[in-house]
Amino acid sequence: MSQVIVYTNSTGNVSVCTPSNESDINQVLIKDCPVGAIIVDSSTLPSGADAQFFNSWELNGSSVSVNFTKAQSQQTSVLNKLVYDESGHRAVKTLSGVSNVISDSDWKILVTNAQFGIATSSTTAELIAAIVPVQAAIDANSAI
Amino acid sequence: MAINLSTLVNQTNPLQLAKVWANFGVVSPGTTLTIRSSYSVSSITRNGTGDYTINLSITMADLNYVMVGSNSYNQTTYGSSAAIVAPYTKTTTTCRILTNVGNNGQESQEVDVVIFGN
Repeated sequence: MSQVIVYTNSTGNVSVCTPSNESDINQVLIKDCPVGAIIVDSSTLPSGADAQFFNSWELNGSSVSVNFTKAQSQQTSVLNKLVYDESGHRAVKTLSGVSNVISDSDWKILVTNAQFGIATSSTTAELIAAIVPVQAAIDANSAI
Repeated sequence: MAINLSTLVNQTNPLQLAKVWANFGVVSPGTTLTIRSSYSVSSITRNGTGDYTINLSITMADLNYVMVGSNSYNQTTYGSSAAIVAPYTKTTTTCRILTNVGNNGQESQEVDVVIFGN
């Protein structure tokens, strides 16, 4: 069972410190980590979909879990960035006289559905699923 | 004529040799960071997505050391894509780096870092 060191960093997020093969974890705890850091089995860290929301992890006692409100905010930021970048791409294609694969009206529906999906999600897997159609539309519009 | 390797090594300027190196990454989404191989590295801390601190097991003489890095992500979907590896903060015992695509931190399956200096 591999072990890692976890602590709450200055931004309020969780840092996870992994010792190298040349180091002893107890020495790393003293040398590389702040006071209050603790050693945990890596198997106890969030896994699956939860693991993809690393920036929303929280350390409570000796347990690391996802703060779902932060995860929703994180996924909203991801969606906003996707929409911002794709809006520019769509505008350039339109100005160049090239049709977008997804019409403007369908694109707006996809984005609205994703926003609704994030807002109504109750699991991190649902948060991930909420933006899949948007990403698929972006990929389709990028295909040559 | 036989080449004496020990002679060659002794003739090499120590500053030409890497002081620190590491090959690490988040192998796949949902896994913890893995250090595949390293030298003079005590640990690597993942501070956030694409935000890593390399903790050295040696002390560099000053902050003028050179860090070079490369990385790849999306190895499954796109084969391999590169993100920028940028030194963020340096001390004589730590080097914090960011792997970015645009302004966004990007988790990487493989990050390779080498440090030269005094």
